[in-house]
Amino acid sequence: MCIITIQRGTKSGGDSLAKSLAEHLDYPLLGRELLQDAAAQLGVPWEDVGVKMEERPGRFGRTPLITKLYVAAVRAALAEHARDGNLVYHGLAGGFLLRSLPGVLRVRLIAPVELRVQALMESHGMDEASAEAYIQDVDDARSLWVKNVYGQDVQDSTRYDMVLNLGSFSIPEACEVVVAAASRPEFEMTPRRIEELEDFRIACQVRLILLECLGTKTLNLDATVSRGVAVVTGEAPMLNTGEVGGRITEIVASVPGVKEVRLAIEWFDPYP
Amino acid sequence: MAIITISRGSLSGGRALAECLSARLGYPNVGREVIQEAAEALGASEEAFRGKFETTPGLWGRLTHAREKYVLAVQTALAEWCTRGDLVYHGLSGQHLLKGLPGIFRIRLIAPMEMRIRALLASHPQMTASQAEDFIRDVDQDRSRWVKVMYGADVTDPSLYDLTIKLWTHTIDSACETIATAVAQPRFQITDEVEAEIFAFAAESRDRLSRAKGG
Repeated sequence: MCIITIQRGTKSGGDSLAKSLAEHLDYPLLGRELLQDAAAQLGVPWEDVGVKMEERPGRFGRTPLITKLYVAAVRAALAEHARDGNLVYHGLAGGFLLRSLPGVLRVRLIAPVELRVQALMESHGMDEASAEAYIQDVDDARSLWVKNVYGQDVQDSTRYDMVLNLGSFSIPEACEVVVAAASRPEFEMTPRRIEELEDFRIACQVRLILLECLGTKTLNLDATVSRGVAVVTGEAPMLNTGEVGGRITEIVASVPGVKEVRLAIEWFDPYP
Repeated sequence: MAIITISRGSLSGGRALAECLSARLGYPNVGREVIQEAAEALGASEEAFRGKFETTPGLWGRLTHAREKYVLAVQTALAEWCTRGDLVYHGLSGQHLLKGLPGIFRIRLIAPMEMRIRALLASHPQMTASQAEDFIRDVDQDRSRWVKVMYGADVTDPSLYDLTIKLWTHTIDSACETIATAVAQPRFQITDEVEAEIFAFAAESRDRLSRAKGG
């Protein structure tokens, strides 16, 4: 049992490989439909979440609050799906959303551009030049997005456990190779890892609620959870001694599964 | 039956992986031997040879006759090994030296910097972690520039390889098992047609080296 994430460029064969893996391993398969779960939790149209997850960053490369909120919602929805410890995920941001978790096999797929252009021409009836331009545009936008949100290069092979070249493997062959890797003990979902998945799921909910609540959403806060103990980090202004801290504790404690809240926040004076 | 080339940065576990694959598949494992044989063929010392092969050529360096001869000698020695059948090659530039040949399984092995620093400090305890990191980065940069100048390619580009695998979550044993599964796929087998191409490639390399030596 393990979690497999697949990162790929558009029309690189990711959908087919993910489907094949899910069938072979009898794992749940999850792709873009994850956006619907995230949208439902936020009460917004799912298309909006999709747009924010893929749109190019602003002129100054800053991530707007709304994008942070949507990313947190998508991550929280993914953590819900991953809680049982077996999943094939081939949606947006692949391994980056689960980057801190052990026991996750992060796969990147690459395919020669000719194959990708051909696939797009066949599926969308495009001419070669338009197909090539479209692929370049989507790749660039996703790459910028990951750079902006995670500060990482999506094409950097060191971010993945393996990079498979689909110019060299058919989908069934690639599936066999990934299954061989996933069945190694390093990727086995042990009881301890299941506990860590549960902590991760709770932490995702904590981050989400901190971005949703009026008193905390503009603060730069983060949270980790270990065995139900939530530790909130980041920066917040010192106002009316204890008021902000009390509010943060109250908000975080309201998340189901949180047993205790600890604040490790750097307080700053907003009126120095 | 296959020919496997392993490209990797220094201290990335390439030798250990090659040994594991060799034991697992029963293939001969060569690295440095290819350089030694090439040096012998040219009557040069291995040290001088490695210098030409590992240090970055200058602006016009790739065009020098001597360097071309050295590269041809390595290519010829490696091609000879390939004519004997199954092989695990973990020396320099396998993916480029055998470029164009069918049936070659090209691996890129990567390892996180902290793991590589640890490996260097284990064999050189007098070094500090920062010296070790500088050393590894220097060697990487030199090799990377060498490949850039000689072949116009980025050695870290995953499209040069069939499979890129990272050691960290993967142990050597696991990487070895995964590669063994990958290399068993039909397209990497040495068929009669592939064997004929390997022999033709080896003969052509020999001829070119012989002409370069005469020139």
